[in-house]
Amino acid sequence: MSRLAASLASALAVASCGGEQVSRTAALEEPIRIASGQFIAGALPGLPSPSGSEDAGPGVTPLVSDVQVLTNTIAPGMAGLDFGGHASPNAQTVEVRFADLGTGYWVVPVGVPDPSANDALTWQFTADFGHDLAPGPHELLFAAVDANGASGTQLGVSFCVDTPVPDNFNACSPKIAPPAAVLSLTWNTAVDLDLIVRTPSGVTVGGKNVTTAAPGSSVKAASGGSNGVLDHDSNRNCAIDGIQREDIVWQTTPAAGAYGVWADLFGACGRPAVNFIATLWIAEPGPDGGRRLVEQPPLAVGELVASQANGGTAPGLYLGSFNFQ
Amino acid sequence: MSRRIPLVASLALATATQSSVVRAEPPPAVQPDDVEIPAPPPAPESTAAPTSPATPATTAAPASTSASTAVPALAPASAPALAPTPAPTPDPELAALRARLDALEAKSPSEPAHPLVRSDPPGPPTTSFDGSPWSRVWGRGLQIGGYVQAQYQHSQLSENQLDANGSPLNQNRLLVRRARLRVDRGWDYAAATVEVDGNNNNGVAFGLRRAEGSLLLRSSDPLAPPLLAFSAGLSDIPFGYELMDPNRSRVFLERTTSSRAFFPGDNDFGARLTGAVGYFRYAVAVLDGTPVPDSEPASAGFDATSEKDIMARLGAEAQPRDDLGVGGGVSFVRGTGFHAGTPATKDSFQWRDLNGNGAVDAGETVALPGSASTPSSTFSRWALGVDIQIRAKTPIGRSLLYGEAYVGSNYDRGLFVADPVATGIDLREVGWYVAFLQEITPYAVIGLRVDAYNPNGDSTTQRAGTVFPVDQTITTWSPMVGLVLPNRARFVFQYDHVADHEGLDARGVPTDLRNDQWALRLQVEL
Repeated sequence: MSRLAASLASALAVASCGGEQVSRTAALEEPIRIASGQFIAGALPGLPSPSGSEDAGPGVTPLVSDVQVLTNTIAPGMAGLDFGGHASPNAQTVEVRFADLGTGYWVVPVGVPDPSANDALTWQFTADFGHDLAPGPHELLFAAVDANGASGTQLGVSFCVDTPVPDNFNACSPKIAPPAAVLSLTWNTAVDLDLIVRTPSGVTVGGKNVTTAAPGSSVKAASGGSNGVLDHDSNRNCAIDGIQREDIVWQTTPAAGAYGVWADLFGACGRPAVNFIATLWIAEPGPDGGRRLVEQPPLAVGELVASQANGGTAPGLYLGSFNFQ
Repeated sequence: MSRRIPLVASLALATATQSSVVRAEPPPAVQPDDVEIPAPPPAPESTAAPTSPATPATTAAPASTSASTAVPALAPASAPALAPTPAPTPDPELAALRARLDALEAKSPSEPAHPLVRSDPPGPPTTSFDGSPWSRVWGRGLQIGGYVQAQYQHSQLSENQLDANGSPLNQNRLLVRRARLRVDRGWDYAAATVEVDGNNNNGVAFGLRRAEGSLLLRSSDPLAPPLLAFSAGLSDIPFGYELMDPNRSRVFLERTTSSRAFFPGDNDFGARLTGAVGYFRYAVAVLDGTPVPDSEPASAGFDATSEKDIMARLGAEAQPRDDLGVGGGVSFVRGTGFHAGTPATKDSFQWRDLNGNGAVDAGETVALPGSASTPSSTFSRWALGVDIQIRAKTPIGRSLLYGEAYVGSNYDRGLFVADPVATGIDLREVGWYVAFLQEITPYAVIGLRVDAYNPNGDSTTQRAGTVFPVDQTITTWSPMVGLVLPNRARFVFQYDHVADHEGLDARGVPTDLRNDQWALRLQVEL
């Protein structure tokens, strides 16, 4: 049936004098998504940007002359990052894709000329990024296409994708030391799941208490150092934030002893079940001499069902314990 | 060897050709009453020569292959030939004729009288070949019917993802497109109809599709539409041809793009005055202007404006030859659209993490002051349509060639919903289609339909600061093939190649979106 349909489609495309066809896809598997753009599979048009651009000259038009964006660090799953800039006056569209990620590029029409920039054409778009972006440096390539379909020199802009685990931007700036340890709980459905840890001194972190510091400690002492701090309460009271992970971060080596870990399904938020993984990250020396967070074998992998939601009346499901020396 | 003479059918056809009712074939209800008559044995060459002068007439009749001419020719020709024959030895041919006459006489007492047969309402049309919806015969008595349309559909737009509202983007589905149950009760001067539908186009939904009471002034011809019918309730929208062609009988799977844009549902609430005088067909209606769509029946049924849509159609139906019928008409509607106002809002506060650092920085917060409500408003809308249909009988089966053209202003209510209050300009819509259907024996049908719809004749796009006119026409080529069990079921495959300008190529020029679709549908009568 599919072959028949394909043959029929080809014949009808000829009959209707159809030209190039494009797909309307949300392209949610792509690392970058532009809601106002058209996604086209394939390599980015244009000429690769020459290295050592000092001697490369102005480049072949049409081209994107500049890119304006407020950050060069991208968090996985980041939404609503605004891009803008200028393109040469003969451009009709701006194309953008990651040099090393994704399967195609996005097309965005250019806007009106900017008198303050020699009548270069303005462009802008708002982009979202995938949750599974590989951490580390990546180059975002920009190209422009004129009315004849010709494209000039590409423009590359370096970005760094941060790790989902809070590492003090160590993945993008290795000179910044990562935390000594991070305990992460991640899950796959939009439920209010809480990470609970009980320290050797008997302090429970999670829910209303966000630090391992002893009660009565100063704010400064409680919020860093060897005290673990819960970064946030994801999907709190079923206000779904889409993050679906919680981390307890120790900036310096934690107090020695056994730490007990629980996963508490505070609220199922209408979902039947949730799968979760608890993982410990430890800072270790890297090949370049610096330190970086290294993922340890999963502490626990499991599932909770809606009937196990307890509204915080119990610590939840015990996952196990780990020791700091 | 035997021959089958459809006596009553041929009489009905002969009568039908004298009326203005367009029927491509006799009503199926009378076909079982055909008379089975043994054919005469072949006359030897030696006996043909000495027969009386009347003989050529009698020998000519069996040689005829036309049932409608054979039966009238038989009776008057054989009677005078038989009366004066004194010969004691029976002529073999004469004996055969007598035997046939005896069979006819034996059959006739058990048959209903001719007018009685014709007053039986024909069954509802099950394909578009079966007759024009504008020549609908209103039956008497209680009729219960319905049908089920189950199908598999496939679309190039389908994705295993959710849209921004959380609705699935998958369109490759098995679904019950329509499951209809209809009850009609016809009286001499009144009629009532109730029809309900169940489907899972957008989740399982059940709803009212037709609830109509009518007062009738019937024609003297029981197989002609009423001279005048006044109907009130939820019923047909008397505009053009395609909209009136019931979902049950339309061989193409769905209405054309322009028809669905102008009329997102098949039925509307209101009152109608319809009828037929000779060749002419007329309809005047006052409607809410809120057609009931199959996919979201709960969304219809409440008119936001007090003004009603006024609709009219003037047409004609004729059958100039036994094997040819033509029909057509001009339709017009004028109504009032609704632009919804906005409710009052309270002060609010918005944060956008412009630099993506997860912290609230200067310049990332915006105060949104509350806003007073804005009033709703109305706007004028209209549409004009011209339709034509040509029906023919060919050696391989019935043919139907039909087409329609529309123009409208602000009348798109289903696809690119027109709101001139929001856009600041009146939207000009243009649409047309041409369709051809051909039966290949009663058991197969093929067809091709081409339709085009432009939702905004003044559409523009802007590239590099320059405004360009842009053609938004959506053209759909729809070939189809089907297998038919007459009046029982049909199995149809239809492919829709959609050529539009909804995509964008690398130059920023609108280009064709990959959005073809096909479907396999099984429809079975209840």
